Amino acid sequence: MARVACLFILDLPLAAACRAEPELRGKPLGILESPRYGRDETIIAGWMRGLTVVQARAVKPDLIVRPLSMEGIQSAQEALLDVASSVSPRVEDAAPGLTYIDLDGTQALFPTERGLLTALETRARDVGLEPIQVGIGPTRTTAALAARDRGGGTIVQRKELQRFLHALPLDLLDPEEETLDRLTLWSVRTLGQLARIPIHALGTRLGKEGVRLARRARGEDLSPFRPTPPRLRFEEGTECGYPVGNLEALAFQMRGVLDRLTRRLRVRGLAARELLVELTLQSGGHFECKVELGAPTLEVPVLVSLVRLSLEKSSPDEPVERIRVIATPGSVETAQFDLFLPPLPTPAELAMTVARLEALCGPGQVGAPGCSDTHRLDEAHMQAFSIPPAGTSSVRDAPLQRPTLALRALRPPRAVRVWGQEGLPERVQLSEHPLQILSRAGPWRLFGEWWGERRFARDYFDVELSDSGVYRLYRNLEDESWFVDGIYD
Amino acid sequence: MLQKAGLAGQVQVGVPLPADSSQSQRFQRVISPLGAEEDRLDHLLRPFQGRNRGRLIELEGGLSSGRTALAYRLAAGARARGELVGWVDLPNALDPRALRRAGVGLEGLLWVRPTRTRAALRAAELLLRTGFALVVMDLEGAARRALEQTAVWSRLWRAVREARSTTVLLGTNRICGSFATLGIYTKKSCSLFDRGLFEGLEVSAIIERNRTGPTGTGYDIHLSHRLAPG
Repeated sequence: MARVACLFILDLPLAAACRAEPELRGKPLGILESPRYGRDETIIAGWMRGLTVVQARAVKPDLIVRPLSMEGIQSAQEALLDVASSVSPRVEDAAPGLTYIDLDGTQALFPTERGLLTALETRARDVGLEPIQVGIGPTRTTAALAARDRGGGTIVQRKELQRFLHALPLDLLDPEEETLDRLTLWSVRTLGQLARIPIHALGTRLGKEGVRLARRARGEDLSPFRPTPPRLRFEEGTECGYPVGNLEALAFQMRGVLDRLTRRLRVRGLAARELLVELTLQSGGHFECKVELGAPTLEVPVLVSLVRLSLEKSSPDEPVERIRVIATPGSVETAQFDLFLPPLPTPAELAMTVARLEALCGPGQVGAPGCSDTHRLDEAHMQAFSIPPAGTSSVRDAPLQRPTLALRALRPPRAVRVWGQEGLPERVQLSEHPLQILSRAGPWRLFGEWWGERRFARDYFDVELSDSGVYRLYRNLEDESWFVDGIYD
Repeated sequence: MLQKAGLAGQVQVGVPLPADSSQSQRFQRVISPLGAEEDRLDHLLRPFQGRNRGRLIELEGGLSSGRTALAYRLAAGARARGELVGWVDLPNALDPRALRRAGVGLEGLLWVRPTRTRAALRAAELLLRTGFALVVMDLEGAARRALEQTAVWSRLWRAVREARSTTVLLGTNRICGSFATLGIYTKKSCSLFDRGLFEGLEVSAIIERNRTGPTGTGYDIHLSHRLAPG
């Protein structure tokens, strides 16, 4: 037996504005028809719709108006789809502010429909969509009517379908104005009255529109369920309202965008792995900045810090008018730990720490050390850190080997001046005064990557200098330059 | 008493360090009868390894004094026990190749490269609170002004105690004063160049401060430049 849930937002532009600015919730708010503020613009959503700003303010002086934000409406619609996709993969994006969910197979997660309905309402609230109307019924038409009737929250079973439809007003089906007038003239005001009229009679008098209305009044769907392909693209944006040329103000605007983005990711059980920040500049140009995260995270302060650090490195030359952030989602890993090993932090805790450390030290400064597959001795790189699976440690249970010498790398290698004879160094100038080489080993010639631009050919020496340090010294054979790239310690 | 402490046959009382040592007359040397370098190192570090410790170890020393090799040794021990190791590397001096040669499993080691001293201290605190069993802080070249504040060390000490972890401070001087559980001063005794080959370093490690045991003990350690056969 098919069951469908419907998520319905009565006034999507208003809901989008309240989602972007939660403090406006409950206040008299009107949405203008244009994306620019103007006193003669008409209000199309919210309070005083149909009036211009001047007319509306004459009636209600404390009316708040906001320009229409297509960006915000699109984000709100995607957030609605995220709420729907959090309970079932079969979701239909029917219209702006209207989404259907096929509930087949959700019983394992939600044993009762009331529980499911409450979960949907809670998740919608979590992503900032309020108020939302939810209804559940045997067909999409019934579910939509259940959502729209008296603020939603209604669950209609198939056996009580007729009784439920009987008393519903006709305008819930959104008939054309002319059709509604004719039906009113015939004293047809409820769905029950419409359903009693034979379909062919309605078709004869009202045409295709009449047949459609009659079928919907019986709770039938006019088309099959068309699932929307699942999308894992998370975008949020905002129009700044004024040109923002200050990084502090930009970070403030960014916080709201990232907060909404992380709320959507959380509802889907995901976290942000990478961020792409797109800024629209005052001149109409675009500026992009990519922020790669060491580990997926949902921490807004961490994300704001990372974006800010990234923008500090390269920021746009002009003031910003619009912000858009696209998150690449990643899942927080889970791990099964070894019973006989010390307790370790969970992957989620670790991901949060890595993200916080990145915010503290900058992108690309946190990770696991890695050795590249090359003969270059000074090559080192950073790779993503994760908890090694139990039992895979290469050193576990192995006896510790004899103590070996450590090397303190100098990055980048320090250019030095060297005096010597026949290619063998005798004195090295590291700082102000030259130092005498007391002992020397080498040279050992290393060359490689001759096929590319990073080719190298070096003669390496280990030298003990008169400052008591033992250094690793090399000579570049290409230009006869000398460098120190490490100190043995 | 020595037998009870597991030190029988390992301690020779009254053998002084070389005369050029600043600590010369105060310390004795521990010489393993077997002559195995790992025995000496592990004897030095064993009481400070493992979880549930809450230790702040300070390794100070000059150029090529072996302090980094001692920190590698602690990291290798922690990784061998399956613990996570955090390495806060202010001078950006960690060499992954040398670390791997020292037997440290790189896959469980988190390398953090802060650019400021304050960020390094904060990073260490974050690692401790997350549950890293060993956090090594390489603070060479750190701003002294930031390190001279007592509040910094009391805060770090509290984090170490609460996390019951071990934190190792690497530097050229003693920096955390009385907050250190163990202070080890390392010094190069000689470098070993043999027939045109660099074989390693002879270093001495001296316990300068010890909250749980005697101070003044010196250890001679041979740090080999070569890997053990096999």
